[in-house]
Formats: sequence, structure tokens, C-alpha cells
Amino acid sequence: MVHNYPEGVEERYPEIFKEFPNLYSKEYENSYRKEHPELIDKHIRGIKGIKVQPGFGKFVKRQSIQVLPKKITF
Amino acid sequence: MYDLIIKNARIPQGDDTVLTNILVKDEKIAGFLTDIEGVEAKEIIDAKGFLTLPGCIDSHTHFMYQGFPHRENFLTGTAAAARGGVTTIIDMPCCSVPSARSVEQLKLKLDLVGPQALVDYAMWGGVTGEDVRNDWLHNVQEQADYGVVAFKAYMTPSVPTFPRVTDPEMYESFKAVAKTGLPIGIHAENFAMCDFYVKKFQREGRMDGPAWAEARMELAEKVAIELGISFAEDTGARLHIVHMSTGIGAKLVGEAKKRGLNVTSESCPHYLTLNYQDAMSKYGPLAKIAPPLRTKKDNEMHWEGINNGSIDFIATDHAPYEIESEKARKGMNIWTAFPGIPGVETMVPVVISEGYNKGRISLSKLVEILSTNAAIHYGLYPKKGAMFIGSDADFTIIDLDKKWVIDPKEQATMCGYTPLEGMELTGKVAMTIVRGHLVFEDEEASTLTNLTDDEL
Repeated sequence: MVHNYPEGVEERYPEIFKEFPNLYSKEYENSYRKEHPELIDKHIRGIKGIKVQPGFGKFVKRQSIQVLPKKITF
Repeated sequence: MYDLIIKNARIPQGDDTVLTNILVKDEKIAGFLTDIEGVEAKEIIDAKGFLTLPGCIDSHTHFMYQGFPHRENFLTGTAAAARGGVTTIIDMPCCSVPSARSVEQLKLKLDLVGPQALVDYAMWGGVTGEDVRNDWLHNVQEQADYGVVAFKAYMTPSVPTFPRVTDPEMYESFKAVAKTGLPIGIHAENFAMCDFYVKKFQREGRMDGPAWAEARMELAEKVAIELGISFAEDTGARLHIVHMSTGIGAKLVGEAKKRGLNVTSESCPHYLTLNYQDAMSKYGPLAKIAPPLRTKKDNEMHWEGINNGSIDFIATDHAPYEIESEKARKGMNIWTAFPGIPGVETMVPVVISEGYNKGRISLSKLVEILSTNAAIHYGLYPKKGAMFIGSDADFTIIDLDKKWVIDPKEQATMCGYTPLEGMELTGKVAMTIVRGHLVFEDEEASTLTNLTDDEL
């Protein structure tokens, strides 16, 4: 989930993958955790108090265009 | 039969609270009852009389996915949000590969982050100098039509895949975004000023932490905000100053509002509580951010700005980096370390402790700056940011009396540092509920512990 792409992603976005073949940055290539992905797994498993499974969160599209009222008091 | 009853919830009523029971059906608020005897629900959560806010929103995160998974991913970022009482985050378009500034790039990002998310999320759109130069501004309306909440532009360089805008490019961007009716958020620092003084300080041999803040001076933000306000006035764009750091910035935004312009701003917990002399002397690169930390006077001017309406809400600019390669690599210094700190996990408790519990802000103001105003500004209200019947059943439940100390080793964000380390707070997130589901409970076991290698 955090190390691999969901199935079919590369096929769905061929133009993007042509330009960015692995979707990784130069910074990632030079990083410590690239050589130690097990640290990422250990960290995730050590997070306390989470009660839902990954994927629970939903994308929320903007519902409308709204403007905050101006309430200036100085 | 309701899906959930949250009993003993102390909810805000203006600057006061009332003790009630919240009914939830189909992930929405279905009602409020003072007496639930005989009312049936599949699940009951006891809020124990704790303050129960409409779900808090961090409208400014960089969860770094995809492209920078050594810094953060959407799982750890949203875990940090859940632990910090944040039920909805709005992620920025810049720190991913590719950056998200077309519908196709946005859809790819959504496909990649969806399987990881633990709380709800909306997305910023993006506009860059490259989009202006290549005649790609049609992407602006297309992103708006797809459902982004606003557009981000940088006056200073950010990441290579998200080029900054020059002044005329920013003007063209404002014109394009104005047509959508959505806000344009700018990273407001004058690039020429920052670049000149950073190089000057380097030539002079300054290697101390505070040098970063002194080089990227208050004036660089002031003139950038003034230019943004001028462009907003000319184009009719809704200008939003993201991560505003200076007190003078709050004054400029307030004056623009008084003139009737659609100009808004956000502050961050670190601009309310830290000053560069202390924090950058102590933490060096681990307190390096852009714009930099300012002074104690700026801290107080921001609290004042919150109360007088110049500052509309709080966000975090959550941008963690890897210590080993990007903050403290051998040979790295205050100039070459990457600028960024985490924040989504500590925003709510810091504002509760240093703002509400210390009497700097009222309860109604607390609700506005942590939830309602961001929801309105970004067009998510009243689905988010409200406690109405029919709103999403998102709640941040706070134990206002619990004392604790910020420890980066305990945090869900991957970076393992924060310049807020050691801050003693009063008030801690007890539970986070998203759409009627308990997402986080303090000091309890985690579903993440049992994820298999294949699932990760």
C-alpha cells in the first residue's frame, strides 16, 4: 500500500508514467529510508490508537463556492 | 435504530457549552437528545463530558506522496491527523511526483493516496510559472470543475516539479483563478529579497540557526503580501495568504479586508508559539521553515489578528523531512538543510492549550479557527465544519485538563522531530470521530499494529 502502486495504475496513466517512469524523486533516491524500507513498516506498526483500516478516509470534493464574512474589529 | 450515540458530549453553544447526546445515522448527524433512555443504537461512545468540537480541519498539509515516501506517506500523514484530532485535511499540490496541477495528475494522486487514508481529505489545485509560460492555464478551470478547493502558487522556489511564479506570471495566474471564484493561496515571500540576503549572509560566513530567519526577513513577506493584495484588487481574485508568519502581514490583511477586498489569511501553531531566536538557536535545521519563525512580538500580533478577524483560521504547513538525508546529513548546514517541520498532529492541542486554556481566545473563536472557517472558505461547509443535522458526523473530543509533553518519538508522522519538542500542554485529544466512526482513541491499541507485509 505504501510501497506498491494499486493494480492498474500504470496502465491508467501511461502518459504520466512515460514522463515519470517510477514516480520517485531524486530526494527519495538519495534517502536513508530507501535503503531501509523496513523502518517505514516498523514505524507504521508502532503508531498507537488508530481504530480504522487504511482506506477508510474519503476524498471530499468542494461542495460549493463560499466566501467568509468579513468581521474586522480593529 | 441509530448507528451511533455519542453520549455525554459537551458541545459548544457560542462561548458556552451544553451537555448532550449526539445521534448518528448513515455517517451523518441525526439529532441531539438530552435523554437517551429507550433510544437504540448499534454502538455507544462515551465522550465522558469532554469538549466535543465539530471535526477539526488542517487545510494546509504536504503529505509528500507519491514521490517522497522517505518523508511521509498518506497513511502516516493521516494517522498523524487522526491522532491530532483532525478529521479532514486538505493536501497541497506541490510535494508529489508529478505535482498535481491537471485533472489527470490529480486523479493519479487520488488513486495512489486513497488506499492509505485514515481521515477524509480534500485537495488543493496548483498553478505555476510553467503553466503560464506553456499556455496551460486551461488546467485551472478544469481542476476547479473537478472539485479542488483552491489554487496554490509559490513566489519562491519550492520543489522542481512545481516552479515558482514571477510577478507577471502571478498576475496571469490571479486572472485565471479569479474566473473560477476559488481562492488563490500564495507563498508570500519576495524571491529576490530572500535570494540576495541568503547569499550575502553565506558570503559573510553566518552559519548559525537564526541567520536563516534574519536573511528571509520580515520585509520580504511584507512586500510580497502587498503585491498580492494589489493583484487581488486589480483582478478580483480571492487572495489567501498561506502560512503567514509576520505581525505586519496580519495588519496588511486586516486593512485589505476593511477596504472590502476578498483577502484572507492563516497562521500556524509555530507562528503563534515559537520565536526564531530561541527555537533556531536550539534546534537549528530542525526548526528551519519557510517563511521562517519570527519574534515574540509577532506571536502576540497573530493572537491579536485571530481575535480581530485579520487571521481567519489555523493550518499547519505540515512538511516533514528525513533527518538523515535532508536535515542533518554530514556536511549539511543551516543553508543547505531542507525547510519544513511537521504540525498536523499538534495543531489542535497547541491551540487549545496556548489559546483557549490560557484565555487568549474564546470558545466560539476556537471553533471558528480550527473548523468552521476553513470549511466555509474552501467550500466544504456545512458537510464539514458544522454540527448541524445532516452534517458529516465528524468530532474532535478533547480532554481539556490532561497535561502532557510533546515527544516527537511518540508521533505518527515519520520524521521524528519537531521544534515543539518538550512543550508542556494542557488539553489532549481523547477521541477522533470521522463520519460516525471512531478513528482514534488515546492510549489504546492500533489496527495498524497487525498490518501484514503484503498489506504494507
